[in-house]
Amino acid sequence: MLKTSTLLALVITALANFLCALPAHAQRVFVSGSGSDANPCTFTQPCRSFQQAFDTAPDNGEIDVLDPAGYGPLTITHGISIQAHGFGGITQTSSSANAITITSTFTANNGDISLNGLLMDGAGTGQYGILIEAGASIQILNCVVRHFADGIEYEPPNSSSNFLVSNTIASDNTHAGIYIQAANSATGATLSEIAANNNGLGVIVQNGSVTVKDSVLSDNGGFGLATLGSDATIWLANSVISGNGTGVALLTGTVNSYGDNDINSNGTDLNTTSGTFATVSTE
Amino acid sequence: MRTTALLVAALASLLSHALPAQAQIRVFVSGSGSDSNPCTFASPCRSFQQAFNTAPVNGEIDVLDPAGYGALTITHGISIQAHGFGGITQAAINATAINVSAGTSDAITLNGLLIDGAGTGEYGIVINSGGSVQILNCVIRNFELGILDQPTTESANLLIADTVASDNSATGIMIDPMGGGTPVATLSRITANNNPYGVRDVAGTVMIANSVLSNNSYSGLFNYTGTTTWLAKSVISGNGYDGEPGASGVYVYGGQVNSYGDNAINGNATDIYPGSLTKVSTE
Repeated sequence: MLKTSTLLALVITALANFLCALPAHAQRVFVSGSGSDANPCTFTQPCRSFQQAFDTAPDNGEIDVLDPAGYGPLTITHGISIQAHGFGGITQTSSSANAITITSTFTANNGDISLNGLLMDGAGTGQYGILIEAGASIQILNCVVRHFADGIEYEPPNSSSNFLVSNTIASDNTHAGIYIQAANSATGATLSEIAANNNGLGVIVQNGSVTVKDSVLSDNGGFGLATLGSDATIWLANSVISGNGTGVALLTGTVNSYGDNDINSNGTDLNTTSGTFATVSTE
Repeated sequence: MRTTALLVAALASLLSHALPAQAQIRVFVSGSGSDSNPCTFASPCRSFQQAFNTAPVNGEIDVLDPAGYGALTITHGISIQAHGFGGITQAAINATAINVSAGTSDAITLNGLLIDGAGTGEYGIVINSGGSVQILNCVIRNFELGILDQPTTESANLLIADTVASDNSATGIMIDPMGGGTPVATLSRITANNNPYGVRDVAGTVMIANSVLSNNSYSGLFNYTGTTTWLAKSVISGNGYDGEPGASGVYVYGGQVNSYGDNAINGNATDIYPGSLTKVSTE
């Protein structure tokens, strides 16, 4: 017969093991190329698809990519952080579908989204790499978005949306690398250290106040950089715009240049139809 | 005789086993590790705290795979190499992901960490004491305060490089050394995005270079009385749209903001408030 104290110790140990096995709150979920969507998306039992991981993660959770693989298209309906470490991919070949859709039917108020280190490929036929129709704050960091009809399309309904694209390449897209249609003229977007290369159009802005800094807009068949609407203002600093059909095109709207950009070797370097190209000072 | 043989055998066994001549400098964590392991490559630990407690002073913690490794208190020199995929989730209210309370000549490097507060955690990284702290290639988001530097000693120096501090509910980066003197904090290629305050310099001397402070709802850069901030080649845009008095790209509340005249400060509710920056020259 076991001593009471020993029995108690055994019970406590069993209880501890039981409690440890229950994830208190699966804030972090995992995907792996060897995972399965029948799994609970833990480190030892990862899922196979981004959508399953997203559906499993809580609001403001984190999806962690364990190894290089394609993880399928994703519709985002609440705040999430995707850490793909430069090797998590999405292939989307359907001409009526996107790699990532941030949809207008948000289920929670807090919609901060961070997409970090993803490789998205449309194989020449996919529609949008990333389509943004909602969200409080969108950050696209360290991504590659290529070979879609449009790489990144930003059209939030809300004027207080935040949009940051940093250290990202949008290339080989048939229409536009990055297309910004903010809700109004004051909505701000920042494109920092981006490359828009070999697209139909590089970076085009319909509405919004967009800062483009330390970027390369090159070898786009049409415009490298363009303002399409009177509510479009681009602030341009320390960037290279070269080898495009037209380097900078203002159909209307404003481009404020800090005077430190290399705009050369385009079919036409600067075309101001009815917009304003102004030189402004750094401070 | 037999006793002697037994003793020798026991001693040999003891020496051949786990006693390393010198404690292992490098310890390992893995998502498939366990905190009952010795934190070796073949038997990694599961948590940063266990790895830290196992590592010697000035040792190195090496992250083997993408996972969350738990909150950490640092009390001596250490190097954490998380390679861009080692994470910490700290969702507990009033809790900190990394607490640095080390000696005044201790050197600490935090490299490649992904630290997420899930919208409820209080601090990402708090520096209470230390000799030199480097925060490199990190993402710190979704806390109340992403990075708080509040050392009580003058000798604590801070470098934050290639790091994103975003989506925090109060401040991205706050420099507030409490012990007097002028410790220098250098912020190089940082992004402070979508916080109420992007960078808040409350005391000390802060150098900000090649950084992006954008879409912070109250202030991109807030400079308090008695503080000197030096600003070079940075973007400060899209800040200050919360409608509060003083909301701006740069708020020179007191002290001095020295600008090298090469910053792109635009598209803010008010670019610089209430006055202007002090111009300084490069050399």
